[in-house]
Amino acid sequence: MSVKNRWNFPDLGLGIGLRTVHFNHVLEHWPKVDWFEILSENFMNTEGNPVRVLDQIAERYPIVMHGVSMSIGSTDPIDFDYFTRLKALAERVNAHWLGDHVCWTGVHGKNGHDLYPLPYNEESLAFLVDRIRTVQDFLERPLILENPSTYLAFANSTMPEEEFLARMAEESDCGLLLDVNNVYVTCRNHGLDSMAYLDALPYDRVVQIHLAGHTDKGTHCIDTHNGRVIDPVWDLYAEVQRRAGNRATLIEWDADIPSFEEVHAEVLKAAQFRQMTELRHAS
Amino acid sequence: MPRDDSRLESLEQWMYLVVSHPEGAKAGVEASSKLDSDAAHDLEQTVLPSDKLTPLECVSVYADMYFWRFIEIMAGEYPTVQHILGEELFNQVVRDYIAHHPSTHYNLNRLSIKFPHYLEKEVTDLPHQPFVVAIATVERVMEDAFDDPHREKISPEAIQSIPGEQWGDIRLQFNPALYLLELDYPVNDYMTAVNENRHMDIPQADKTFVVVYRCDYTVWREDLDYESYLLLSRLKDGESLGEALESCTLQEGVDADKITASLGEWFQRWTAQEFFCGLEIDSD
Repeated sequence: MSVKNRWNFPDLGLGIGLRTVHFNHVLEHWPKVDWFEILSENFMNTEGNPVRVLDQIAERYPIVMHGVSMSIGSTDPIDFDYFTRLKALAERVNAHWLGDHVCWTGVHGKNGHDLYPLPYNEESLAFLVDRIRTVQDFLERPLILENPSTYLAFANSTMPEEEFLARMAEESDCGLLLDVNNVYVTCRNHGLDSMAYLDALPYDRVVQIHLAGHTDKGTHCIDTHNGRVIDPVWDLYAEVQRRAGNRATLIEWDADIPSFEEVHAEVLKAAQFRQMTELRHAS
Repeated sequence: MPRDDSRLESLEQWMYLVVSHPEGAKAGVEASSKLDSDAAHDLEQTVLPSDKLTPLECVSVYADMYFWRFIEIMAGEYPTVQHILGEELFNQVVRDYIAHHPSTHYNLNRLSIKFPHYLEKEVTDLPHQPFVVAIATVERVMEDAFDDPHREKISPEAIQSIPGEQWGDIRLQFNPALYLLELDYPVNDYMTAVNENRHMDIPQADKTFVVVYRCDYTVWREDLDYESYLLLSRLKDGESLGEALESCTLQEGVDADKITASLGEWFQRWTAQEFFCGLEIDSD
């Protein structure tokens, strides 16, 4: 069954994360890509070449903004300079939506630039919901927040991640970016049932889907974004499609980045799953 | 009733302390257990083991990535410094730098702002240290120039349209992405050689003048002779062209005839290189 997202954000189709190494290819060939996702912070605090390129790309393609430094789960005061710049960038590129991760990146003024996990309990839920609401009021739009890959679980967690995310989304009225690779990585790392994880999510709040490759260390997986999507992740993607219907889908490839065509070919693999979803709906 | 977030705050503080400890997660855990503050936590009671990893191994996944992320970023920003020091020493210097000057801004571009000063003032016994400092200064400024504000350049026609009798009264506004550097070593040829994978011996100390600037969204570096460096510096400080020429020619060691002979050609070139983004003419 297809569930529309409650904001009626469009299904943009199959997109690619815009990376510096592909700037020239995009400007020279204007490839047939449905949409681009930008890493917000790469275009904030700069008036150099990246924004010149982005301005041209935003004139021709839909843009979605996804960040890594919002630190929405940090107990530090909200950095309104960051959100002022984020809002200005969203207006500049006419972003369809913007988001980040359910995590914190630093505390007491120091920044580790990593996606650190939160304990999943009532205290952090209440804190996070309050913080998301404040930020959404400032930005005048919903945040679309992504489930992170996690490598540790806190002993004071009292609920599973999927329940935490579902309640966070409902209570703060934010959207979800469902990273299917992160579901796989997190469930592998913590010995969780990925189907139960998917069953618990509110699909009317899922606006976008991420796919990516990861590194399997044997004892644990790391979300390295450095290769192709493995078959079990594609299987999970099919499950998500079955539950949610078609959603804007994107491949993240951030290390050992191959040619633009190779990244594009990888995301186009998702088309078969989307066609199956459409056929299911038609029948 | 106000919400109490102190437990979450102390947990975040603890985890940050552990993952950012310069000697690794184990040392971070030991250090945190001795703290006389809310950040003191017992690892086994704070982090659950997974099926295959102990709590220490779980937190080490984050700790292992902490310094490598910064090293990777700074290796991209300081390729010539890395070349001179070698990978192992460069990595250690960056680890020490991050331990002393952790990132405090959401933008990673700010991470290494203090690196040249750190290399000059806070590090001892670095091989070729004064040369490394000069190189780091230029590489940092090139990062700044890449991101600096954009201003439309002044056109050659605008310069040429100024009546000859008013040239002495013009004050130029400079491209915000332009830096004039006075260095103790020649750096440009060496940086180019490293960039092109050519060997070059480390040069002898010699006073050098360099301009770093962004033109058509590309960052360039170029040696300047003393006279053009001095004139540009005075103009950038806000002096009118007449004032700058007068003060330059009074400066010891300046070839006044060279300035007079080169002025027209210099301005043509500097305008094409987008050095200027505006001008004013003083009125009496």
